Parts: sequence; C-alpha cells; structure tokens
Amino acid sequence: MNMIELNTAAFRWPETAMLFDLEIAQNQMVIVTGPSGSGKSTLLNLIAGFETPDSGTILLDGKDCTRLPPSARPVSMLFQEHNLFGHLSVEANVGFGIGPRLKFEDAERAAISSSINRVGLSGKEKRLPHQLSGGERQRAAFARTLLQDRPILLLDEPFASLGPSLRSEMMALLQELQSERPRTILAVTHHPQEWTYIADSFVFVENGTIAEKGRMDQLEDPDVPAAVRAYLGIQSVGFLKS
Amino acid sequence: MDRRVAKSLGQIIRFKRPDGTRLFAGFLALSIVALLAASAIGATLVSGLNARYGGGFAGLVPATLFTLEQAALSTIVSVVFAVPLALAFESLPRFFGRRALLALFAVPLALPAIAVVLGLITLYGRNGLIADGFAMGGLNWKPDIYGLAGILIAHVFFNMPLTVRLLLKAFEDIPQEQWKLAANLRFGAVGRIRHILLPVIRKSLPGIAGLVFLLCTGSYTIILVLGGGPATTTLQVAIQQALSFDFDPAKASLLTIAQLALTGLVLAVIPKGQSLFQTGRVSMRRYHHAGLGERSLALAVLVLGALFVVSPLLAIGWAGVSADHARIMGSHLFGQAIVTSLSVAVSSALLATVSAYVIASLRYALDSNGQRGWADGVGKLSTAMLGIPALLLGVGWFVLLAMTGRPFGLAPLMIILANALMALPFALQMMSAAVDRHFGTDDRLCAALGLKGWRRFAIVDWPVLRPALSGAFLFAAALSLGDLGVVTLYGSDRIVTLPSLIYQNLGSYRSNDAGGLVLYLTVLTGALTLYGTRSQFHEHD
Repeated sequence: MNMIELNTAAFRWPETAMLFDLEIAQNQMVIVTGPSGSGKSTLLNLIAGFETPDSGTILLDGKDCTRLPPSARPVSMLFQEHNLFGHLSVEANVGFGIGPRLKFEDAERAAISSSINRVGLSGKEKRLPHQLSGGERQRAAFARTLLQDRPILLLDEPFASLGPSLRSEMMALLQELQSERPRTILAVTHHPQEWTYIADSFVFVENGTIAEKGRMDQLEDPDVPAAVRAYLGIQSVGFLKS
Repeated sequence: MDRRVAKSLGQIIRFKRPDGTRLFAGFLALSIVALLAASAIGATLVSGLNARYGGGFAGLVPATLFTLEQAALSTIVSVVFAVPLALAFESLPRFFGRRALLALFAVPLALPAIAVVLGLITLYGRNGLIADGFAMGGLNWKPDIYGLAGILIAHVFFNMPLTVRLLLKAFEDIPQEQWKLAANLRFGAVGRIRHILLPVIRKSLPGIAGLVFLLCTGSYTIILVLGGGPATTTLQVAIQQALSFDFDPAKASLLTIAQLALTGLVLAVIPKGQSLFQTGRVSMRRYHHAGLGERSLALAVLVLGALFVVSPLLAIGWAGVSADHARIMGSHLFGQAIVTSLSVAVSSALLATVSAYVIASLRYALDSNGQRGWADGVGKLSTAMLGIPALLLGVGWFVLLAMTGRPFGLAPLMIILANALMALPFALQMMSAAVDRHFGTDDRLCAALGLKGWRRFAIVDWPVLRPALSGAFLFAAALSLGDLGVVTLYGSDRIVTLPSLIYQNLGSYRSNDAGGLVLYLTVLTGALTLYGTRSQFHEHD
C-alpha cells in the first residue's frame, strides 16, 4: 500500500511552477535531494499541509488529505532548528507529542519518560532547550515524534546544523527507531551519500518536479542522469569505477 | 592624556581625504550641537541650584508625583489595551483591510499633539460629539475631557497603537518553524498564545512599557491643554507656568533639573528590549485555522481598537470642515502664524538635515578607519539628544539671554535651534544607513576618478543621497511645524506659530477657529511626513 501519494499536485510560486507525482510505500525511508530552490521543502510542505496544491490530490495513509489542515494529517515533522519551545523543559516539549494542553495522567507521564529515555536524554527532563547541545535538542524532538505516533515522519534537513560525528550518531538513532517501530520517512538532505546505508531510496527534485528516483545504490550507477551527477559533484563516473 | 586616546587621535589626524573633511565638518557640527545643549543645561543647573527658593519646592513635589502618576497610569492602560489587540492581529493573519488597519495604527505618531487634543475635545468634550449624541437621546450626560481622564485618553491614543506595532514587530522574530509546529502539534488558540506569543510578550513588553513610560513623562502639549489645574500639573507644565506666568527663571530651572533627573532615572531603570530569537525568516505566514469563536472575538477586539483610533481623526476632520474658513484666512494673526511656522520649520529642518548629514559622514569616517569606539560614541551622543526635552533647551537659553537683559530678543532663533536639535536624532537615524552604504560603495570610485569637494557632492553624493536627505528634511519640517513646545515659553504676544495660535484659540474658547487651523496643520504635517517617509515604507514591502 502507498502511504504517500501525490497525483499531479501542482503548486505555483510567483517565480516557479511545481508539479509533483510521487508514490511512497509504507515504512519506506526515502531521501529527497536536489539543488537549492528546486522545490524539496515545498514538497514536504505540501505533504504536511503548510501549502495547499492548486490542483491535483494528496493521499496520505489511503485518505484524501488534499484540503485538510496540517493538524488533521497523519504526519509529524522535524526541522533543522527551532523544533523546541525555548521557555519549556524537555519534558514539556516532548509532552506536546501527546497533546497541546500539558496536563498528563500517570500513564502518559510514563510514556513521556520512556521516550525521553529511548533517545538517551534521561536525567535531562527538566532542562531548557538552551541548556542542551544541538544534538540533544534534536533527540528531544525525535522523542516527541515517537509520542505523536503518526505513520508519516517528515524531516527537513534535520541534521544539517550538526557536526559530522553527531550526524552519524543521529543517523544511527534514526535507524534504530525505524527498526523498532517503522514509519514512512521522507527526509530532505543535501548529503545523500550519508544516507546510503540507512535509506531505501532517493527522490531527486529539480525545477519543481521529481526528475529522478531510484534505490540508494543507483545513485552511484553509471546510468544516473547528468543533472544528478552534477549535483552530487561526480565529475567522471569512469574515474570512480576504476 | 590617556595613551589609548592619544593613539586614536594620532590615527585620526592621519586620515586621508575625503575623511579629513568629514572629520573636520562632523566634529565642528557635533561641537556646536554639544555646546548648544551644554550651555542650556549648564545655565539651568547654575540658575536652579543657586535659587534661594523656599517656595519652589512646594510646587516641585506634587508636580513630580503627578508626572509619575499619569505616566504610570497611561502606560498601564496602553499596555492593557494593546496586548489583546496584538493577539487579535496574530489570530487573524489574513483579512481584508489588515494592512490598512496597521497603517492606521501608525497615524497617531505622525500627528501633532495639539491636533489630537483638539480631536479629543471635539469628540469627548462637554459640548463634544458624544455629549451631543447623549443629548439627542434625551440624556443630559456631559463627559469631562479635562483632567486626568483626558490626559489618559490622549496618551493611550498615542501609545496604545505604538505598543501594538512594537509587539507585532517582536512577533515577527518568531521562527516559521514554531508556527508550523504549532499546527502540526494541534495547538488551539490557547496553546498558540501560551506557548508561542506569551514568551515573546514577556521578553519584549518591559522594554516597550519603559519606552511608553518615558514618552509619557516627557509629554507636554497634552497636559498643557488638558491638564493645567493645580492637581494635574506635570513638571514640564510647571516649568512653562514658572516662566511665562511667574517670570521666574530660577524656579523654572529648578523644575527643569527635576525633570532632567527624572528622565535620567527612567532611562537608567527601564529594561532594554530583548529579542527572544537570533535568527528566523520574517514572514507573515501562519498555518493555523482560527475557529469561529476565536475569529469573532479577535474581530470584535480589532473593531473596538480601530474605532478608538479612528474616531478622534474623524473628529479632527469634522471640526475642520465645519470651521469658518473665510474668517480664519482673513485674520492677520493667521498670516503671521503661517509665515512664522513655515520659516521656522524650513530653517530648523535645514539645520537638522545638514548637521545630521555631516555627523553621519563623521560616523562613517570614524567607523571605516577602524575607530569603532569613537563612531559608537558619536552615535550615542546624538541619540542622547532624544533624552533632552526641548523645553530644557528653551529654559536654559532663556536664562542665558535673561543675563543680557533681553530674554525675548532672540525668541525665533531659539525656537529654530530647539526644533533643529529635537529633530537631529531622527534625521540621523533616517539617513545614516544610506550614507554608510553610499560612501562604502562609491568612495573608492570617486577617488579613482579624482572627484572631490563640491563637484563630488553635486555629481555623486547629492543624486544618490537625495531621497534620504529630503526624507529627513521633510520629516524634520513636519516635526517642527506641529510642535507646540518652546514657543509657549515666550508668551503669545511675542511670537505666533500655527500650533500656538491653535492653543490660544482653544484657551479663549474659539474652538471653531481652532478646528480649522488644526485641519490645515494636520494636512500639512501629514503630507510632509507621508512624503518624507515614503521610501521607508517601500523598503518594508
């Protein structure tokens, strides 16, 4: 079954027109890559409901969500920054995964504490976001998406502001979480190579449309189109292979 | 001399052209400004502290207390009304007329205080439109605009919209991600207000309230007209009374010292505005869908706020249209007032613009030669002029001139200088970015082409900087035209400006004539302000 389905979903910015056709099967982890301004974030915004297509349909979890507001969609989302509310503790921020009222029963409190534990932040429940490192902040945000428990997770360059070793740590965490409780994940990234071992497939967005897609290993294929090669910075495929 | 200062001076002396000229002209202008301000402050201090004045203290304490009381109340009321309005604007990020409503909220700041006072009297006065409305309904209720209530209404009229705009400006810093998360996490109105807007309000409101409090302690025209009884006299009004009724420069000086100390204290105590977020793209996109209840509540709040702001404006228009214009235009005082007002406005705006240009150039020259500290100092010194009430300058120079035996002799010059100094910080603010940008890009090209001096100014600087310079000039002229400040120190028979003529007419219950004059004044200053700041509006689009 397809978890995400965009059927000729059109969206027009003043400068560019975008048109997306996309099918992603349940529990796949797919990366979205492509040049800046090509429409990667717009694609995610359409799925999350922050933008509404001018025409076409968007089906999520088998349901037509084209006109639904963001709050009614089976989607949780993480950004590069500002994922936590600065005046609230880790515990409260994670608690938003259950509901916006911040009043919890015992069972919910236990759930919050176990997901904080799961991302390796136990003992830091009472900290404020600015008392955490960048990596810890993203971990807390991941804990919140665990509680939201929605079948689709959208990641908009979630690790872009982290250093290389933190990035691979977060990658490992994501992979563990995915094997424990699989979700359909769509992640925007400028570094597709880093996802080679954990993502299932890639989508290459260019000029507002999906120009190429395939399995991760096909990124290194000699047949990969010139635009993708140019974006990845692979000058000569022959040189790589030899 | 301090070794560091000596070293900086050495570096300054070795500056190249055109920076040498900029330094010379800039420091000259700055010295004149500083001398003018310092002489006024010095004269006030000497005269006030030497005053053997038992009786002076009797008026000092109540005036100080009332200054604080009305400022505190005005601040509280402004904030209490502004917060729901700002929240309502956030609840409804898109509706027809939102931009117009926001623009309306910028209008009070551009209006002369005397015009607003007349609008409020026309609306809320004993024989005002509201009283008429009650009378038509058979009720004999007469509201009283004079006294504390009127002062509060006037101050709220000016400061509530300002607070709303500053709060909305603070909200702009909220990162888009937080609004997206709010939608994704299914926040309702309460969640959005509690978790996104309130933290920003908590951070920014102390600074905004401090600014409003400061503005209210320095308020003059409003209290002069609407207050004035012994129970509703602020320090500034007491200063004016001491000079123009009691002819007692020593008492005026003493009161001025108290006012200055109060301003300094408030400046030291008020918290600096803080921003909660460092980054974040500014965008008005919101992703929530307000429910029917939230929408109706927000709309009701906005309508009430708009009515409060727009009704005095309509009253000004009504009073203006129903005035006897032939009579006003025929009076010789009117001609005199127009000529005086325009010549004072043009002279003071010219002075303010030229000094602001010269000082902005100095600031750039210092900054581009690595003298950051000196450059900042120049900026701070100019901003400090904001803290000096124009009235203090008037009192100080009055005291100085009184020593020559002719305190009224140079009244027009004093008014021009006071208005120029008052406008200087604004003019500087309006042009320094343009000056920095222009010199930064074109200096080297001019040097390469051998352009310098007046030729360079005429061929390069003037065409590029004309929008900034003319903007500052028009704004300064509008400020000067609408100001009823120093002129009230000199008494009505010596010099008549448009605002002082309005004040006279209001005092002698010729409010019909005042209405007509206010209409001219409002249209004139409004046009100048609008035209002068148009480039700034375009930048925001």
